[in-house]
Amino acid sequence: MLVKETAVTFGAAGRLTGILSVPDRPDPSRPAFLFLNAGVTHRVGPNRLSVRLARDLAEQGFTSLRFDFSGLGDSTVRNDDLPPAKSVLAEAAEAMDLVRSRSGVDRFVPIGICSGGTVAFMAAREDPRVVGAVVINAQGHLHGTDPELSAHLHSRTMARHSWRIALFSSFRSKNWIKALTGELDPRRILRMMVGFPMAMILRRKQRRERPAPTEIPADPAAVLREVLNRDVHLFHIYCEADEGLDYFHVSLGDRGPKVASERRGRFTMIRGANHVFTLSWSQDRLTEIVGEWACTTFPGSGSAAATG
Amino acid sequence: MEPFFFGPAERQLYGCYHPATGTARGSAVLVCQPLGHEYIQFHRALQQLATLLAGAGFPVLRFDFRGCGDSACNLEDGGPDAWQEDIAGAIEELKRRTGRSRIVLAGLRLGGTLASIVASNRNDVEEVVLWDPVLSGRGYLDELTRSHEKMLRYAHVQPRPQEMRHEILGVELPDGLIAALGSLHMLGAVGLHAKKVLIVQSNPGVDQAVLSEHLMAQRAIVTLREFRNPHLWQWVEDFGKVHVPRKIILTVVGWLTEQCS
Repeated sequence: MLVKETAVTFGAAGRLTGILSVPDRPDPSRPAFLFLNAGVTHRVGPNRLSVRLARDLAEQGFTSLRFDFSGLGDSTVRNDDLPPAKSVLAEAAEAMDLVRSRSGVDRFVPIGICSGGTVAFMAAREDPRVVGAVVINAQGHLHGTDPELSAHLHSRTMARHSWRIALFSSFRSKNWIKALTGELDPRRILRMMVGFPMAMILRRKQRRERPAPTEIPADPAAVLREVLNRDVHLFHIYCEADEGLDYFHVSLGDRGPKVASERRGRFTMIRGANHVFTLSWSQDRLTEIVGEWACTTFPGSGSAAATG
Repeated sequence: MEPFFFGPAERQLYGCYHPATGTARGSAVLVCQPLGHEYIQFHRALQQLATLLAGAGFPVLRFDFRGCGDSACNLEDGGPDAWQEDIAGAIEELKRRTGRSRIVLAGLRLGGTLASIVASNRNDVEEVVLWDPVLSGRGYLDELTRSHEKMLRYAHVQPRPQEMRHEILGVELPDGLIAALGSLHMLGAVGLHAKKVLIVQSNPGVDQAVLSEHLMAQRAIVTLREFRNPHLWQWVEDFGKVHVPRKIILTVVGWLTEQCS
């Protein structure tokens, strides 16, 4: 199957830029994917992963749009005072409007790595047009934006991450060899192994002593279930080396993967891979599991796959 | 800024056109991007370069080589010859859009090398900006391989020997491309007689003085500017830590403004 790619500008004053990928035989019963920026990396994604995924999904009959949020890649900056946490959701909604007007598809699956995964989850929480979301190596999405809570969570996450990587990960022997041969800075080891746990304890004490937090923390499991109970197909993917995996466990405990797999949820951990899928086998693995999930979750009418 | 695709239907190239917003100048600038992880790491820098050049009165086109960025194809469809063809196509597209007959080629790393080779055979290119161009394809591959091996030692990644392929910092390199890059020798391929050339050196791993002397021997008018910026050339996992080398960008804009006044 061939894919037709078109460069588009959209949003207020056409400030957002993206590439619309439409299969030559689109399956209108399948939702469209929205590729969201991974941090500040522009829309092609780390190691060109968004381009590869978009084209692979088009082969299966899925329309997609990969675009840059304002101020990133080829999109220009906003000139209003909307905070980033709100502007990304507004712009994701504008992206959905564009896809609907160009292709007629009005159900969506946002997908993103890192902060893109966080926005994908937030969009699934807020926009009824979102029927699925692929949340890859995300952090913070099960909590609010309170800076004090975030700092506390970060310390707990990093403390868990440091110890897990050192003692239980598939990188542990590599790390210990580096430590024993002097390739790792001892100050860095000390900071990772002792500094973060200390900060965690101090921040916990500070939080207890402060009676009125600026934001009442929601139960992360309830936040996750709120989306799952709407029958959104939610796919969490974490790489073994990623701190997001520790955030997920700190937030939900060991039951995290089980909660994430309730109803239409799915959880996968890719052993041996890092945050941005640097090695090509990990890129292959991501492409494979996202493609398989998309096709089984949204089987469509079958006409596109049959003719492709 | 206007994004669009151009070129033959079977291998459409992605371009981003920045119309001139300042006092219009007689030349238009074509920006040739680097490849692989350098393409990602320097995307913002080249986007800002294009924006500043447009503000200085130059219409600018940035584009992705085939098999790179948003352009069609995969890396196995690319290679030095194919990418020179892409530059030639982009020059025609830029001329068509702007009505300008005089083109400036500005390229970073391999983009610079390919731009200089293309400029050697054209009369419509009088100014060339070469930002840390690759002088030897073999040296370039060796340098990237060393960075890749360092990444394997330090980053939390687990190679799978049974799935080992030729890959460098997130990019799988087909054998044909490795062979083609390995035989690339810039000094033997460029002839920039009487052209004005700005060479920017910020990568301490490649001494651009050799290129400068070579071009001056060809009676090119060469300006060599050096910057100490080794961190710019280190692979980073978190692209949020990549910085935009503003001094280099302003130097390029200033030099071109002076040459094309």
